[in-house]
Amino acid sequence: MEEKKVYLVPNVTGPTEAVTIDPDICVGCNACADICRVQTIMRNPVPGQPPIVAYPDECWYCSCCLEVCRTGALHMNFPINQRILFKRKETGEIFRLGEDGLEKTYFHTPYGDMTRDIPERACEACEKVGQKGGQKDE
Amino acid sequence: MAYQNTFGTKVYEWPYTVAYGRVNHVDLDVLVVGGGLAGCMAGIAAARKGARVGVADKSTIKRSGCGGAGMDHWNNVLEYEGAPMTPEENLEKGNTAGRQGNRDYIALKGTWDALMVLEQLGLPIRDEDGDFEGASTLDKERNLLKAYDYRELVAVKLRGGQYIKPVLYRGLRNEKNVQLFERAMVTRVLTEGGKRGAPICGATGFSLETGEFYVFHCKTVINTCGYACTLWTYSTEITGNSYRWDPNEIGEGLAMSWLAGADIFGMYKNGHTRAAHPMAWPRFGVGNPTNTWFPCTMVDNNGKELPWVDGDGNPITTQEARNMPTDRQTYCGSVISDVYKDIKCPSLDPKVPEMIKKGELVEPIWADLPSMYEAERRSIWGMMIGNEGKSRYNLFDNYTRMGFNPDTDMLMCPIQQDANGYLSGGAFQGEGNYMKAWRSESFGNQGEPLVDWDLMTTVPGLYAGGAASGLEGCSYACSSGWYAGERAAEYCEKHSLADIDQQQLQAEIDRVYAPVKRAQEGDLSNYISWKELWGGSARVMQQCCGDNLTVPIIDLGLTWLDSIKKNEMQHTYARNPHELARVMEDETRITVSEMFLNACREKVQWDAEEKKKKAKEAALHPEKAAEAKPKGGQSGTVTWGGKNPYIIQHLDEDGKVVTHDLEDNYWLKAPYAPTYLENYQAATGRKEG
Repeated sequence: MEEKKVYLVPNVTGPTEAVTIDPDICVGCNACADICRVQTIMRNPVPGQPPIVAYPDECWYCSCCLEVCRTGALHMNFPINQRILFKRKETGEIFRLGEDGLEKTYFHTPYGDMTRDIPERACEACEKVGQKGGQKDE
Repeated sequence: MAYQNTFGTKVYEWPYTVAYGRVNHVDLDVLVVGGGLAGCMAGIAAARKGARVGVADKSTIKRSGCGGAGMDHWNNVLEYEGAPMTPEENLEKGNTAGRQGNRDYIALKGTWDALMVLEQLGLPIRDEDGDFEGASTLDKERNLLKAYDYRELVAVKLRGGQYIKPVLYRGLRNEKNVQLFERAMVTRVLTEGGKRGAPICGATGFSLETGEFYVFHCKTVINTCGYACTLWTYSTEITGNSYRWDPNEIGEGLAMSWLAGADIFGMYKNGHTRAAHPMAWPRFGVGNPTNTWFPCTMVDNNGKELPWVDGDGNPITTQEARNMPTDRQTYCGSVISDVYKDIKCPSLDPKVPEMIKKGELVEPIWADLPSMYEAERRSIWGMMIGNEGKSRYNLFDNYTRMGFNPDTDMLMCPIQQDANGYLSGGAFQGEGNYMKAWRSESFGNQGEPLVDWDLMTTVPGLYAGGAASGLEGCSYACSSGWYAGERAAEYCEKHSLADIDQQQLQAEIDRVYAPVKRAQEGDLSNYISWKELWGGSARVMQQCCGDNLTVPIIDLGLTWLDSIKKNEMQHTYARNPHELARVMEDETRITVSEMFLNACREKVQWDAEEKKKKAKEAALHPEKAAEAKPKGGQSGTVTWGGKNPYIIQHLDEDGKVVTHDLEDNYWLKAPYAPTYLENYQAATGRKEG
C-alpha cells in the first residue's frame, strides 16, 4: 500500500453532513446561508466562496436551502436510517430509497408551485445563471 | 480549537462583524416575538391598524417557523355560508373542559377570514388549473379542495401551502409600519418598574449574527414563539429529519411570560413523544393511511387490502367511503384541532392488529398508492406531500430522485413492534411510543399563558397567539395571530409608554453576555458547552417528569435543576453569537422545565384528592362506581384522570409559585358576557357575526 500521511481528525457530530455544497457549481451567493433557520449553513468569511456547513448536527432537514439555490449546488444527504424501502407493485421487487441503479421516473410538479413567483433577495450572481430552484436533476 | 469543527479541521473567522454589548434602542408600539405563521399575521394585522410594529425571529422570516417549510391542511373552516355547523354550535357541543374556550372560539371564528387574507396576499388556494375537475375532493361551488370529508367542506387542502411563509413574508415587507429583526433572539420582556405582573414597557434581545443588543421600547409584546419543545429530548446528535417541531421552538415565550408574572394555564400537560422523536422516520415519509396520506390503501405483504371502517365503526369497502361522514355525523375531519368530538373519520379497522396476530394479515404492510384512483394518488403525492411541512423537497423531490414512483411503487410502513401502532401515530410517524422517558409537548398538549377575550395574558400588554397560546395547526395559528395583532394595536391607542427600569435592563444585559465573557476570559473551569447543559436538563426531565410521577420525585427534579442552574449553568461558554443563542435556549429550557414540574406537582396532588373523593363515593354508591370509569385523553398523553383540572400558576414578586383554579366555562361568566358571540363582538367591536 502506498504510504500516505495520516491525520488525527475529530469525529463527525451527526449521522451525515446533512447538506453538501458542490464548490464547482456554487456561485457563493449565500442564499442558502441566509435562509437556513438554524445557521447550519453559514456565510463564508471570504466573499464569493461557497458557504460553510457549520452546524450539520442542528439541521432540521427542511430543505429550504435547496429551494433557494439557483444553481443546484446543494445536495441533501438523507441518513441511512431514514431511507425506507418500497416495493414495485407489478413485479414485487424491493428497492431502498437512493440505492445504486435507481433513477428518477416521476416528473410531475406539485400543485400550487410558485417557484418562479416567490420573492427572492436580489442576487446578481444567481440571476446570471438563471436556473430553476431545487436540486438539479442530472 | 479544532474539536469544534465537524467535517474538517479548519477554524473560520466569524462571517459577521461582532459587536457584543453595543445597545440599539428601537421605538415601537407592538413587538411580535416569533415570525412564523401567527407572528406574520399578527404583524400585518397590527400594522394595518396603524401600530408601529417590529417582528423578531431567531431565523430569517421568509421560511421560519414550524410552518415555514410548508403546510397541507387548513383545518376547521366553519365561518362561511353553507358550513355544516357554526363556530358557536361547535364550541357549545364540543368538549372544552380543561381548555381555554374563549381562545378556542377566537381561533375557530377566524379561520375562514384568515384563509381569505392569505389568498389576497397571493397564496394559490383554489383549483385554478382544473387539475381536480370531476374529482370528489373538489368543492365545486368554491373551487377549493376538501380534505378528509368530501361531503362537507371543513378542512381545506392548502394548494400552494408550501409557499405560505414566502407569501406572508412578502405581505409583511409590504407594510409601511413594520420593521423586521431577523436572526434576533428576544430574551426577556420588561415591565413597568421592573415589577412582576406590571404592564409591559419593552423587551430585550440580541443578534445571532453580530451579537449586538436590542432594547425594544414598546407597549405590547405578542408571544408567537410556538411550543416549548426539546425539554426531554437531547436530539440533534441523532437526526433532525424525523423531528416534527422547528428546532427553534424552545419556549422562550412561555419562559418570558412566566418570569414576567403571567398566569400559565394547564402546564402539567405532556405526553409520550408519539413518535415525534429524533429516532423515528421522516415525517409523512413512510407508508401510512392517515393525515397527509389519508386515505391511502394499505396492503399486507401478499397484496391483501387492510379493511376500513366508517366513523361509527361499520365496515366500508370502497375508496369513496373513506372520505364520507356517516349519515348521522354532521361532518368528519381532523380531531386534533377540533373540540367537537363526534367527527371521527373513517379509519383502518381496529381489528387489524388482531388479524396480524392471527396471521390473517402478513407484515410488512405497504402503502398502495398505485391502486388508488388516479386523482386521489395525485392528491396524496402531488397536492399533500407536495405542500406539507418539510415534504416538498425532502420527500416529493428527494424520494422520486431516489427512485420512488407513486404510480408504480408501494412505500413501506415501518414494522410496528406493537401492532396497534398501525392504527395510529405509529404508522403515520414511524416508530411507536417506545422512547417512554423521552416525552414531548406535542399536539397542543402543554400549557400556555392564560388569556382573556383579547388574547391578552394577565400581564397588561402581553399577548399570545398560535402554538404559543396552545393552538394546533396553521389555520389556528393564522387566525389567532391576526386577532392578537389587532387587539394589541388597539391597546396601544389607549395606553401610554412607561420608561424602562434601568436595573431590570442591566441585569438582563449582564445575564445575556455572561457566557461570552466566560469564553473570553479563558478560565478552564468554564468548559460546559450548550450541548452538555441541554443534555443535563433533559436527563432531569426524563427521570423526574415521566410516567412515574410523585411529589417526592418532582421535588427531586426541582432540586436537581436548581443544582444545575447554580453550578454548570454558571460555567457555560459561548464563542460566537450562534453558541450564545444556544446557551440562552438552554436557560429557557430549564425555566420551562421548572414550570412543567411545578404544574405537575399540583396535578399529582389534585389527582390524589380526586381518588380519595371517588373512593368515598364508591363506598357510598357502589352501583355508580362502575359508570364513573375515567376516560383517558389522547393516546400517550398525560391526562391521568378523566378530567383536566384548571391549574393556573404564576410567580409572585418574591419568586414564589402561586396556584389557583377556575370554574368550568369561566370565559362565559362574569366579568364576561354569557355567550361566545357577545364576548367576541365586545372585544372586536364588530356588530355582525
